Amino acid sequence: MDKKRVLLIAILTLAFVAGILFWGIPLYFEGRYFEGVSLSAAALIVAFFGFKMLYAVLKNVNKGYPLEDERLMRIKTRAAAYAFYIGIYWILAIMWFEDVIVKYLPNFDISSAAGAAIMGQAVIFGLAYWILSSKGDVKN
Amino acid sequence: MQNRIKELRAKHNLTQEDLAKKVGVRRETIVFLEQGKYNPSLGLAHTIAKTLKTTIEDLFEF
Repeated sequence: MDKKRVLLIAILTLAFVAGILFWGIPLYFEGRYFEGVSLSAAALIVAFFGFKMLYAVLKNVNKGYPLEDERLMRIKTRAAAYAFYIGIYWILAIMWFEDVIVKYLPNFDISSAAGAAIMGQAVIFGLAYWILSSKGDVKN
Repeated sequence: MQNRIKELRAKHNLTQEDLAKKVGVRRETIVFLEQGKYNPSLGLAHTIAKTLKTTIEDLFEF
């Protein structure tokens, strides 16, 4: 059961990375170099850390440990909450600094803003999960 | 929260890996538990106490 879940996570990670690449690469060829390169770089970073983490998880599952225990569930919930709340401020920051962003990225449109918001939330979730799991527990 | 998991685990000749598998958690969770950095749920505390043949009151110092 756990191995099936690992496989599902691997497929979703791959689909996420492929989605960003299919979005980023055409932007590069349209002449939007910064967005194309930054999206492709983000996809490669996600792929690297995603599969590194999946390898570690699969190793643990093969050793007989559960994919997730109550501590990790607690941490995941808290990390998701952080991603949600900080993500709102991240989206607001994109709105507030719209003029500055458009000045430096003239092709920054609504789809770029949505992409930046989703990527921002994903990064916040990843960072929060990593920091909380290194501390051991979430403080109530 | 302080506890006697490490002491009782050693008494039963169990490694952190063995205890983790017996109670159904990851090894890191046992490490954090022994260091007092993680407060387990009542269910997990009960399972650990049962595995180490003791009581929750004896295992954890409240």
